[in-house]
Amino acid sequence: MTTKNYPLLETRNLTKEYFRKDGSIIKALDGINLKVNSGEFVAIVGRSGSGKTTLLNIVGALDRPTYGEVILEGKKLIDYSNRELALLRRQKIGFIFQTFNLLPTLTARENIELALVHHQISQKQMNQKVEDLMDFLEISDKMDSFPNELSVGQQQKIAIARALVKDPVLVLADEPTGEMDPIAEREIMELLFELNRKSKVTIIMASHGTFLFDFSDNMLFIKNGKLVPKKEADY
Amino acid sequence: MFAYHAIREIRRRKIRSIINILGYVIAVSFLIIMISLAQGYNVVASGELKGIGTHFVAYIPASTVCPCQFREAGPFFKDVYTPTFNSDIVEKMLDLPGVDDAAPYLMFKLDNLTISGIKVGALATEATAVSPAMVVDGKYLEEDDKESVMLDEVFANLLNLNVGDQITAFGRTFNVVGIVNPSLYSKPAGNAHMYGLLTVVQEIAQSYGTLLNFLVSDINVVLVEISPIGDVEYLNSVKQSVLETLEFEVGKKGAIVGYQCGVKARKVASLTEDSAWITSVILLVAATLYSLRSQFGSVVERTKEIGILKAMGWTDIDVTKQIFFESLLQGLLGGIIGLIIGYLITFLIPMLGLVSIQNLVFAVSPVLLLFGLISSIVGGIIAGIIPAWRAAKLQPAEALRHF
Repeated sequence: MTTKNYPLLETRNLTKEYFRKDGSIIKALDGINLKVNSGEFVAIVGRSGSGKTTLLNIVGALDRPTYGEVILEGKKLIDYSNRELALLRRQKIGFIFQTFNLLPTLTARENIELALVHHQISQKQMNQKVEDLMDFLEISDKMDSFPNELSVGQQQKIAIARALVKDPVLVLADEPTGEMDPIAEREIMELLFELNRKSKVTIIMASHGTFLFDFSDNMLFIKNGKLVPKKEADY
Repeated sequence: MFAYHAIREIRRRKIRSIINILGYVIAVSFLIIMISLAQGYNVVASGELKGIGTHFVAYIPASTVCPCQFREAGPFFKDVYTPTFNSDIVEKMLDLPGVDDAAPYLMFKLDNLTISGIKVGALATEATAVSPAMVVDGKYLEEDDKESVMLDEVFANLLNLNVGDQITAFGRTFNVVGIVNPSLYSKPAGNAHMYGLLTVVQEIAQSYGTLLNFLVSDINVVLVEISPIGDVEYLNSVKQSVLETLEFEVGKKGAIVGYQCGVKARKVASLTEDSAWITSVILLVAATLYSLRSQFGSVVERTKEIGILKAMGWTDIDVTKQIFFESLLQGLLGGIIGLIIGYLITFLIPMLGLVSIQNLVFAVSPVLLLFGLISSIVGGIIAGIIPAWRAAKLQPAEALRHF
């Protein structure tokens, strides 16, 4: 949970540059400053290539910024080693990807358990947590199914369960409904909204859709790597 | 945990994994079969080749009466005291057609104790007198072992002497560096109780010669190795030329005694085993390299999955262990299957009459089995190190972008 005097997450002048072979520089993020409080549902809206995924990757400790800082629970991630970042992701951050990113060799249950294998938790506790979550997501009957035997909606529910099973303080969802039809999209969005409201987990979701207006507490618009006012947004 | 996922991955990539494991299976089973076959062949070949006589000794037989005055001492060979002659004759014999090698030899007797002086490293010495293959304990003499001797096994047992002990004889104290059994593979040219460097035995003979008033020059025997070509008539002609050279140089009637050729036969036979080892090791290296390439390909294919694991909080070490364990498991599986197949085939070959050599008995050495298994495990480890390192170094965000 957020320490009293500062937000759960803060970024200061977050900049990410990529270097091309010809020596030119591409700025994927350009001085992003944002604050996210604990329990918020924040939407980041922008077109493809606007910098949404790069922002989530850096905020989620999957990548490092070229300049600027990410501060999670009052601690600057720039001081963390690769191992410390991995442990941070293991304990505090859950990811939901557009393409689900389930391991095809594992069953639904095993994919979810994979997020807990390095946690100090008994097999019994692990089973209980996984089963409770699958009950809540109404996918209990798919426990022993492999990803290729599931619909896209069911696969994303497994991915959501995998992100939530470790009780993270922050869930980062990168276009989680991008591959879904409108009905499945609505179902997943309502589910995430319900999770946010019930468990108070902080969710930052990137999308290019305007349907997020119905769910989010705070909407941020990103364009060419910069946060812009809604009227300048291009989505 | 790592084993569970490793087995899953191996099962998921069946073709790739089977080929990797098959590489180790072929290499290890080949190792077991070929080495066992070569060792069995070696035993048979040694026995078969013992009868070939391509080497002999030349000396001047003289009297059973000791040339000395006070004690039974003097140059001695084949139950008689013999005259000595200059070792330059060896060079002349080496120039004779058909002579492959010739070596000086001096056997000296004092009372009931004999010592032979040998030229270390000479083919003729090893083929006719004593060779490293005859060492049953300790080591063979080296050129700087001036205060050391090798003892005949029977003599050493009689005196309860072992390698590392000291023996006082011929007025000197020697370190025992080796125990030899010259009768192990062939009939030797005169068994001695002790074997020392030629120069050392020459010094002994000279000191007793001066002391006991008999003449000592250099050596009393020449060991000769003939090229193993040509028929019996050819061999006899070479022997005759050696004898004539000896008699001409010394001016006395000489004698020639031929011996069986166990050592050289074993050398020839051991080439088969050597080549089997080399081929097997090459196969193991090839299997390891193929597995390395395959594991590397597997890591590239699984880049995105590695990114997912890292996103879930797997550390670099966790990922390294995972990839490494998969490779190790393939090496281990290949090794075990290879051992079983190699072991079975080794025993099936003689049962099915697949070899025409009679009396060929195969025995798979436990050491060989262990070597085969360890080799394939080491292969698995080597094949896993680089891909595991590569996987660990992947940045999670980059890995997740991979398709």
